[in-house]
Amino acid sequence: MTFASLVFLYLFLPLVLLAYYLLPRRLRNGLLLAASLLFYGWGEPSFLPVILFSAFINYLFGRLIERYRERPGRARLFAALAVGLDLLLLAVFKYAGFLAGSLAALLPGLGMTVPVIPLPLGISFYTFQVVAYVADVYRRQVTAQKSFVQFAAFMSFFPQLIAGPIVRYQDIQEQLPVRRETLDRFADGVRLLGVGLCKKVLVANPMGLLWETVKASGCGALGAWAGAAAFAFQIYFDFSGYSDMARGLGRLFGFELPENFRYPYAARSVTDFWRRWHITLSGWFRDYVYIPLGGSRRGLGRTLCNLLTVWALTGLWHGASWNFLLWGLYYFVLLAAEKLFWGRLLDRLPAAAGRVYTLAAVVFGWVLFAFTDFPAMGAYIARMFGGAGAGAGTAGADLLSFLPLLLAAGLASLPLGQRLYGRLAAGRAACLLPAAETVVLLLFFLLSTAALVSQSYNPFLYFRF
Amino acid sequence: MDKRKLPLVILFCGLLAGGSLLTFLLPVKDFSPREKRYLQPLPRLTPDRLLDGDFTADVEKYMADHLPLREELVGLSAYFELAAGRNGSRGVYLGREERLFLKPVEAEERDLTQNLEALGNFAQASGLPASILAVPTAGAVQTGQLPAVHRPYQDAQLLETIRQGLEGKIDWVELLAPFSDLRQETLYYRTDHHWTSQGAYTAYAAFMEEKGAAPLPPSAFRVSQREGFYGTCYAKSGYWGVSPDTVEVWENPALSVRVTVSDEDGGETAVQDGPFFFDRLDEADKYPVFLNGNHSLVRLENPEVTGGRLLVVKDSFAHCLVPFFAAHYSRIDMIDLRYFKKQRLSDYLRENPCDELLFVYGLDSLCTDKSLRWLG
Repeated sequence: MTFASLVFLYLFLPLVLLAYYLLPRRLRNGLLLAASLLFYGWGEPSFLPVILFSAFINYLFGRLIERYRERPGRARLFAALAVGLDLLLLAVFKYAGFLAGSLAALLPGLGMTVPVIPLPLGISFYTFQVVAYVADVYRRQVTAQKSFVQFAAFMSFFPQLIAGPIVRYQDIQEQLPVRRETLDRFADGVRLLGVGLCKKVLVANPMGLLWETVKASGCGALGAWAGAAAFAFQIYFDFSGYSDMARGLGRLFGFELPENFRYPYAARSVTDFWRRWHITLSGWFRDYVYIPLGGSRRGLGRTLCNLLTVWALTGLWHGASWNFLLWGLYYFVLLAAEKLFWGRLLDRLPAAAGRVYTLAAVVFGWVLFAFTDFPAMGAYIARMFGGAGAGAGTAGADLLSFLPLLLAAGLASLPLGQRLYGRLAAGRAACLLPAAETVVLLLFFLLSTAALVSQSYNPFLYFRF
Repeated sequence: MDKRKLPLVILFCGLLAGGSLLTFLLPVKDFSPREKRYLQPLPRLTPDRLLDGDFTADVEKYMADHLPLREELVGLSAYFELAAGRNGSRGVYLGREERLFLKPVEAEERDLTQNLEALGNFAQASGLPASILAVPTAGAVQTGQLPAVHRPYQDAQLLETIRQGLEGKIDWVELLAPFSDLRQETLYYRTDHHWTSQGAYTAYAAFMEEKGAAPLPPSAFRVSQREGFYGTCYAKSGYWGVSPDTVEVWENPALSVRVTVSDEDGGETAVQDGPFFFDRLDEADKYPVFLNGNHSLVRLENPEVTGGRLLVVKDSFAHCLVPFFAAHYSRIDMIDLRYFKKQRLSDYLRENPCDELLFVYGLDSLCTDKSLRWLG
């Protein structure tokens, strides 16, 4: 199930909310677990055993590590076993087909048959959560969860299950047994849910449609860049919309989930961009790969090597395909170059120059991300640099009709709205703000519902993650 | 606690509760006349359908079809997108003077080539004189009423490709030029993609002139009108504010023709005098007034005429056109390949010999309809 669906909004969510607030507190985590499993199994029930198995082994190894705390050798063995099993599951389900396919293409003489293994939804997100949990238990940063229900509810909590944010156990451990559901928090949850839904359904989906149209047309450079920008908006509004909805839904049940996006397209450098984009993923790689490898404390050569590892893995995390690796390495090159060469220069340049450079680099990066097929990617890049003329070609009418939305998306991806809101809240008309907000949010819900009823283009982008 | 947040919480909970309760408590509708389509029935739950995801996919469709105020929401979405500059978000442009246009045909070269081969081969194998009326889309003709921003209509190029592809096998009757000359007239409906009786008459006249025969003058027909027509463009568009269309029926009072309508799926064969089924004007979609809409086989017989026997292979554009031909042929068989599946057309032709072949297709069907390749 996805949040941007009528089944979720008008069947699943009302029922779960109703049951949640009718039940006594001690049963609520159990209800959330049951609801999360229903949510997860709704489209693909066959993946339920995978997630349950993963929950069970990580719960078990967490307890074992705790129990053999005094015997470091055993604790280490259990931690290694847990992480090994987690990564094995991920490798089998996500990367086996890719590796076999690449091998078969490289050595056609072997006559290999490439297995087709369906990718369980959200496996990359929840695997990272449990790996972090096991590592943190081993490093004594958290104590192992004693209740399986609470552990499984944490791991499978439906708001963050299929598209993040990647929640650390330490962020949520105190909220699991006791939390206060308040009207304020509920209202904030509704607000985030409404904003996220609007981002996904009213901005990201049409932007995706424009991207598909441009991709299929024979447009020139202008059209190709506008198309890439449309894809950049699609993926940002889709992903940050999902994260907003996740945080909003969390609050409806009294949880506080971490922020995942902080206006990434306002970044002044690529380094800055990655501090603002998918924050919980970058944080995970920092804390569980980069720093354990030695971070930047062991000399330049080692630092670069660590960065290379992190960015190759970051690329492959986004999908089992060579283009994602290329996309990750592209960022390695940019980040290393900013570290070594032009990072200082960027700091001295006017902010606008840094923003233009960052946006151009990021939008170009999305083209590497968007095409798993290398000849198609090459053809598109050629068009971006004038290989098919300068204009918009046959996509002109579509670009023109999407222009208002492109502009609106551009403004909405900068922190202007937030600033305006702050100014209004401090001004004389502040008393009108809650009412205005209510009206706007209701409109968001209504228009999003209308778009969903229209059954217009509504893709799920994270099936590769 | 901030009391000013209370309305938001109450409205949100009300929206969710209202939406879910009414979806499942209101009486189940099975047809939407405005959208001209059957709604998703209550999904069937079986272990197989649950495991392969069919059940859950159907639940989403069911909810989309049965959410309260569904049609209003579809309209809201269509007009919101229109206001945001995205005219045609549901495949239909809202043009000037409330005219609705289908977006330009997106031709797959391979499909078109296959269709042209099938047509040409069939015509050659039959050994009969054959001609084709390929109908341009409204957007390529009534250009004055197109919206300011629209995809380019490539009808001229596509029609030229078709003409060349059939050259030497099927006689071409040029329609785009005579239609363009008359673009001030109403050759197409405002709310439907089909041509009006005037449009069909123009094509009929072009066909007769191409054959060196004289068409009946417009004065030979008794014209009657019926208002309140909402066509398929309207049904698709979501622009519910567009005012209804008018259907004109051009009747030839001097003609007596017997019409037999038959379907393959065991439906009853209907026989009536005259090509117009006036009781179908009482429906919202009034186009089936012409020869009763889509059927696998419709036969028009007029023994008083000395002309030959004509076989028309067609899509729905022919329904409005073929009655004009009834004055010139003693028997017309009209076959729709989308529904005519149990017999090969060449076998039918052997059992029911004809003197002449005519293909009548809208440009869209010629470019995309896959039933054409079953010709043989």
